[in-house]
Order: sequence, then C-alpha cells, then structure tokens
Amino acid sequence: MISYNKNRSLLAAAAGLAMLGLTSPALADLGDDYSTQTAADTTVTNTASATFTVGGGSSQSVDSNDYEFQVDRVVNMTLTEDGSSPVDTTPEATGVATKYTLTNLSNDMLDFGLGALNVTNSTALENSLGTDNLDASGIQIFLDTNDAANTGSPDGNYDSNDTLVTTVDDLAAGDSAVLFVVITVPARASDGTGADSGDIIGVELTATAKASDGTDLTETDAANTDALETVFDNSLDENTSGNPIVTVQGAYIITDADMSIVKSSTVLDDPINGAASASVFPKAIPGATVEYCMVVENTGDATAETVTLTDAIPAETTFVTSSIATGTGDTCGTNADDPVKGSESSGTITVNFGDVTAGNSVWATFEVTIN
Amino acid sequence: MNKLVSSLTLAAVLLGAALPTLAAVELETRAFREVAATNAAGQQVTRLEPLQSAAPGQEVIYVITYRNTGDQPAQGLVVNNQVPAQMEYVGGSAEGERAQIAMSVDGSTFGPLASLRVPTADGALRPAEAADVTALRWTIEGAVAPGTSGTVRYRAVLK
Repeated sequence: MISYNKNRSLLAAAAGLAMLGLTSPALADLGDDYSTQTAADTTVTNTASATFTVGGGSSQSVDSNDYEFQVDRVVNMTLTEDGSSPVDTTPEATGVATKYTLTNLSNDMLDFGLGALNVTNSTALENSLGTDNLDASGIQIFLDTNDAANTGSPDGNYDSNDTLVTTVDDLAAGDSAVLFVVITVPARASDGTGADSGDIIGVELTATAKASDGTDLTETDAANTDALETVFDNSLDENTSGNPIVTVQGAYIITDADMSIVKSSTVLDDPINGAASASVFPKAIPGATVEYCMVVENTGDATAETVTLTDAIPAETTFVTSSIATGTGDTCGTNADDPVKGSESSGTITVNFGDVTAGNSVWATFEVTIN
Repeated sequence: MNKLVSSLTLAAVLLGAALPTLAAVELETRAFREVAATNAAGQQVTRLEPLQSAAPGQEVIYVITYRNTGDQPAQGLVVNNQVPAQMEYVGGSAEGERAQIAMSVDGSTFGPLASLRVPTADGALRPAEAADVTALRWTIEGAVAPGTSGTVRYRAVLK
C-alpha cells in the first residue's frame, strides 16, 4: 500500500518551489545544549538515485550529484557557582576558594579565557549572596587538576596541587571544568577599611569562549557560505569585542572573633574592718586585700584561638602568691579551672585561655595587698 | 563454438542498438533553507536560499530534480533518497507531483509511515515515527516525456 495525496501535490505544484506548503522557524528549538548535536565542521552529504525503464527494456539507474553542506559552530556554555557561597573566612586568611563549574554546551571543542575581579562595593550580589562591601587582594583562578594527595586526579576541592590558570584549553563539547577563585582576605579593621565580622567580599568570574586554537570568536553576520561559520546561542552575552562571555558571582563572608574585657575589683578585707561580709565593708586602705576580676567575652561569630590575657600588677600593690584563679563563664569564681591556667612573673599576670568559642566568656581573678 | 560466437555477436548488436535509444534521466540534488525577507512591496515573504552551511536545529529543504534529457519517454521512474545520517526527517514533508510516496526505517521495507514498525530494545515492535525514517522513495506515475522534468522534495532538520 502506497499513499498518494494528490490534492496536496497539485497544490504544491501550483505554488512552486518557493512555497512548499509547510511553515517552520529557520532554527528549530532543540534546546541550548548543542554538544550532543552534530559536530561543527561535519560535512553532510546527500545523494539521490533513481531507476527507470525505456521502451520495455531493462531497468536503468542513475545517481545524482553529491550535495554537501558544512555544519556550523554553535557556541553555548554555562558557568555556575557551586552553591557554597558565601564562603566563611577570616581576616588575613589566604588561599580561600569559591568553586565554579564551566560547561561547554557547543557542538565544538573550545578554549576559554578566564578573568576574576572584585565586585564593586555596594553592589547587591546575584543569587542573594548579600551586598559587597569589601575587596580581596591576590585574586587567582585555579583549575581543578589534582587532589590533596597529589595523585593527579581532580577531586572537586581546591588544594595546593591544582593548577593556576588564565585559560581552559581544549574543553570538548559537553565537557566541564571545575574552577576555583582564590583570594587573600584583608587585615582586620572595624572602621570599614579592613575585614570586619559580617563583611562580604564579592568576586565575578568571566569565561570568554574562543576557538580551540585560542583565536577569538565572533558571530558570523555575513551571508551563508561553505566556510565554518559561528553562531552564538541567544542566551550568551558578548563583551565589547563581540566575543561570547558568561559571568558568575561568588562571595566570601568575614567571620571574626570580637573580644571584650571587663575588669572589676573587690576589697576582701582590711586591717581595721576585717573580712567582708553582709555587714562588713572593708576599705581600700594600706594593708587591705583586693581581688581583681576580669571577664573576657567573645562577642564575634568565630572562635578566638589562643586567647591570652595579660595584666600588670599595680605598682602600689603586692601580688598575693598563688592567688590566681581562672574559669569559664561570665561570672568570676564559677566553673573554676583545675589546674589554673595563669601565672605571675615579674609583676605581670599572664593567662592562656586557649580557644574561646563565639558567644562564650572566660574569667581570671588574682589578689593583691595595698602597700 | 561457432554458435557461442554468434550469441556474443548478437548480444553486442543488441547492446549497440540500445545505445541510441537510451533515455538519459538526469538527477540533481539540492538543499535550501528558508529565509525571511521583505519584498519590494514591503511584504514579509519567505524565500529559499541555497544551503552551504547550517547549524544544528536548522531545517533543510532537499529538492531532487529529475530531467529526461533523452529522446524517449522514461517509464516507471523511482527516485530514492537516503536521509543523511545527520538529518532527521520532518514528518509529512515529503512531496512530489504525480508521485506515490513511501518511506523506510530500515532501508529495505518501504511503505507509508503508519505501516512501518521499529524494533525496541526488548524485542517488541513499536509504530515508526518520522524521526525513524532513513530513506524515502517516490514512484512517479506515468512516463516522463523527453525534455520534461519534475521535482520531489522533503524537509529534514540537522541533528
């Protein structure tokens, strides 16, 4: 059974070659991923053949010419941040990385030029990463080529074995590269000139698509020819030179310890009134014993490490041997440490508290007698 | 031996006799794309432009022209075209005047698309779709007179 739609064929015949009776967009919507489609520079060849007879003779056959056309290059790529921004960091931290994935969705192998810059202060960052108010220094881009154990296998994590790059070379159609933007955080300063808790450093990473030989790509506007032409996906932006680019932002947020210290003193007893009690209030007179209480609180949002307290014993007083006590909490005398973490030397009290986590307090007390 | 020579001679004579009467059907394959344009009257028109290159997703119009350049009618003309491997046939787009159109998904069995089946991974058969078509066949009704020509056509999208 062979179908034969006579009406339509007649209609098409009347309309001629210029109207084939069907409408379609010039470029059908096959999605943005061209990497699985026919590769650029492929030659598509079509040859028809026919058989016929003449005067009852045997069947003859004939082939047509080979009609060839070239497949053009369609450029598309994506650059995404991996979702870990804003990355927590601290003042003066070095080698702090945000992570990105560059994917070549073109139907051709491409090179990519890379650049990373600070976002201008006061800019609201994309993806609700906050408002940039601090710049990083030493911005570098690394390609994930290795792992911490130096086995030569990319592992998706930034480590010192990864490769400092300004380009990604020969990224095949459909392939991805993992990139890291690595920064140095400015020194601590709470007056807006340096890193302070809650400050946000925004960075912008740009990838510019290039041909696999490293030459720039511009869109072919001229008439259709048999040369390899280049078309950009509609989603792509172009730089001022008309080269296709993708950009993405990442962010770092400063978390810092913020220490406060409160010092108070209490007269424990004096030679005249005796020891303090509910009804006895010794006075700070020569010979009186005074206790100093110091509470150190971490009011920041990061752990303060190796917290050390030093306090000079007042010149008019004499340190009471072995009177130092230390502990945790915001009230002197509670949760005392055993052994005590402090010592006295040459008129100075030194206490090594170790780590103080965010929001927590430690205390130290010592006694002196008034000369 | 003598008889065999005669037979060979006869064959040669028949072959020689056939040569002057050979109907030379020529076949030409071309490809076009539709381009939107504005004509002199300011109207939006679609014109066909010979295709030299195309991006994936581009719809291509293949036009096959047959022409009888001989001096005798050509009978039973059948035009065959394998859809290029990089191309996907657009359903319902095959056309041709006085042509019975058949297609194939395996290159050997030809018929209307609705009659064709494609084996699935589990060994069953499913109805063929336009995207499965690998070859087209136009059977031209009647004779193609000397000096006349015609076209058959279809659309396909670059994969």
